[in-house]
Amino acid sequence: MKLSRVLLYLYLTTVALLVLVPLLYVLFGALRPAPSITGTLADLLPTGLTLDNVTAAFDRAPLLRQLLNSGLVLLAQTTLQVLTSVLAAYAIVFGRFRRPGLILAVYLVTMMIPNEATVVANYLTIRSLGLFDTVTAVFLPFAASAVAIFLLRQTFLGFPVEILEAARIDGVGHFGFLVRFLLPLTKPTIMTVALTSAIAAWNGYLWPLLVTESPAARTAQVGVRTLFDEVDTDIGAGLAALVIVSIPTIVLVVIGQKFLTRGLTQGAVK
Amino acid sequence: MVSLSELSAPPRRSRRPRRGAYPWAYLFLLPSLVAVVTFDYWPLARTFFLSTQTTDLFGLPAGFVGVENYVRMLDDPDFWRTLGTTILFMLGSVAGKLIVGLAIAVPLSARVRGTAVFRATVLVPMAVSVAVAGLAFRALMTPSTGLLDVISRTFGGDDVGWLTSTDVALVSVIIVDVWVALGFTVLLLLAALDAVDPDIYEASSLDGAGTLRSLASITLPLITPTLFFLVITQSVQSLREFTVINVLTGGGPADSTKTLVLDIYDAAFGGTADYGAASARSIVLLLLILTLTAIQFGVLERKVTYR
Repeated sequence: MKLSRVLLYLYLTTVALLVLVPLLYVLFGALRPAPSITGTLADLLPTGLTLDNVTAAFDRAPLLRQLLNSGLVLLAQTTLQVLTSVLAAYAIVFGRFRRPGLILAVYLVTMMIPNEATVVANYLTIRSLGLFDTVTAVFLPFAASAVAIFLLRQTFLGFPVEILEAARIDGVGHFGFLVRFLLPLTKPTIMTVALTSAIAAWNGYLWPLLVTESPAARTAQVGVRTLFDEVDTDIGAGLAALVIVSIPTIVLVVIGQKFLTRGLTQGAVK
Repeated sequence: MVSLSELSAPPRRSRRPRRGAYPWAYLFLLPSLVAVVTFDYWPLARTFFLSTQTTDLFGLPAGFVGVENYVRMLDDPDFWRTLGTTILFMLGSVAGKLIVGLAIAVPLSARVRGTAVFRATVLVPMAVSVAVAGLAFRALMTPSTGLLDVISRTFGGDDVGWLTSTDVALVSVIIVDVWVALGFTVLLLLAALDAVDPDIYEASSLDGAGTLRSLASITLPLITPTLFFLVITQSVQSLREFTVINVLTGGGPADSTKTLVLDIYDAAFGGTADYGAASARSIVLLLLILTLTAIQFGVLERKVTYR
């Protein structure tokens, strides 16, 4: 092997390790018997194996309840987003509107309005709807997604019109066509939309932090932060909670890697 | 990102004679339109409105005060400090993302066996949430027992005070922000680098160009569109960043990491419930982001390309 090749591998290995250190540090700490962080270089190595920290995490916080809340938010938000976006994209493409581009623009403009600039007003809306401190408040504002509508519209545009016409001649209604032909044939895009939405729902932080208050209504991301604030002396429980909270998204990313990469690069690089 | 020309493209399915839209189509649009109006357009209008009002403790408008909230904000030296911190955070974070991203993506794009494993590894940060990543780094940056201080002492240094020193904390949150975005940055850069025709490198090496020379004269110019896209989107992203800073420092120590979004949060929810002040700051944030977006559309429409 040439020297340059060896140096390249050496460099890449170092980079990969540096990228992984924060995660390995948390994982090894979570599995290490107390004290889970020793304050020595040995913290970098997997020394010891125990589930005590995991038990402690569930004992110290309503973590199970919060994981369930997050699961609920994930399911509701993903279902809503896929549903509303499929319907909207279908109407835009097949609804025979005179100016479909204008309708699309109504959605796309929202991508330029940063959520962070409207959280205060949205918070007040949630309060006046009487939804403060509920799981519904966490997902409801994300019922529609401009990105999802755009991605689906692009895919539907590429759909051969002949199939629609054939189905129409055979007496299939628009809803039947949508469910029986269009969705199965555009499954990759639906998967991309669903996965992106699910991960965003699980990982949300600012919004759930604002609209929930009681520990039982918190999502796991916010809950784990609160736990972390409280466990300064017993950081092992906090580290274990970090691992537990990350498992669902890691699984989703691993399963859906293909669809996610597609969604991220699509439209970005033309 | 979506280009403006696509929006104005003529409708493609207009073979039949026009008979107006189907009635069901309006029904299909309804749910998403209700959501978008309720949670995007209405709050936007309300934020403008609130910024001209004094508000009572329930956030209800309690009287028109015109531009008073803005005047108060512009007279406040703390606001200017916050704005300065926001810009510093943005510049540091975008520069960091580009430099680290290139330092990883360029060697990874070498057509060499085994890079697939490294590629997958570098994307791992995408799999954890920003909050989790922030907390992981908070553990790493814990004074004295955290790994980073341990390493610093091993090499004969002192405890750094990653999150407790007013000189270092901003750098620390930038480092974490760079790590959080690493998967996305590298992914986009790799897609651009992989698209560069290998023949160009072969030709340039025949002409005697070294690695650095071909990086500077071929690679970087050819991926300018992606670099530009990253600069804009990541600038917007760092202007909006809340989680990293909230989780790591909460804006401290002594407000040294307090950016505009944290200021909005503090004004509205930090005990004062001053929604007027928070809304005025939200408008500033909105204007900053719209400016960046306008630049993006303006320049990208003309395509940033070499040659």
